[in-house]
Amino acid sequence: MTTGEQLHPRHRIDDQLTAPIRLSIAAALSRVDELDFRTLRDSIEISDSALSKQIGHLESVGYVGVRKGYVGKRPRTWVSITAEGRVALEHHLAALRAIVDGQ
Amino acid sequence: MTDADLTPDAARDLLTVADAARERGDDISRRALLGPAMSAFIGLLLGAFLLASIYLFPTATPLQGLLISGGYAVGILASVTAYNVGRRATPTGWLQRYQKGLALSCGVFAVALALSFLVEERSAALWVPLAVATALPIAILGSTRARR
Repeated sequence: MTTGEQLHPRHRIDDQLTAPIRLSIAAALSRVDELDFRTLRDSIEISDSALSKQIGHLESVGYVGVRKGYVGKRPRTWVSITAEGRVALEHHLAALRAIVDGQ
Repeated sequence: MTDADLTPDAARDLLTVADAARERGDDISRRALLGPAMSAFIGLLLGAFLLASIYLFPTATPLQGLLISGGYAVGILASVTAYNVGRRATPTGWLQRYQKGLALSCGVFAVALALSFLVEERSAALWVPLAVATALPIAILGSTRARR
């Protein structure tokens, strides 16, 4: 592998964010400090289980944080993007733009 | 999808997905009005409580004083509870702005209250502007949106 190949934007693609659902989650969370699980689910338009699975994955790589709380007796889950996740998203989007621009 | 098959078209599709999700995030943030409403209400309560301290407390009976203080406490508790129950999203930086506004409003309130012990002046020309100055920091900072 040459230096030129390493500079190609595809090397800057973040594998954790290549899946459209994960990208959507990170992108939506990047515009708020915190979203509750239900609002995020409705925003991304996926099932509870699918969202839960993808959030679990993003949490395991440190891109999102999950906070569980209660409102009265009802449990409520809050999801936020971490600083690391925010940086990863920006780098990923920059790499995608570079690929589109043919750089 | 792997790096190898990420064509410009596929990358463009992913950018479209990301843009749509960010727009939805922005939209949710714009519709998160409970925080601004609570901030404005707490500002109003603080300003009203300052005026009550100046005009009502000095002549109020202990029961009236208790009712005024109780009304204030219930108002604060009700607004915070309504916020916590209804909140679905926290706009970017809102909590920091709210806390700054609350600290400033409480600071102005404390200074105004201290002033009330130092001066005899009780005209509305002095105390209404001070009540407004008490209410404004939290009302404004709690309603301000983050710049993109």
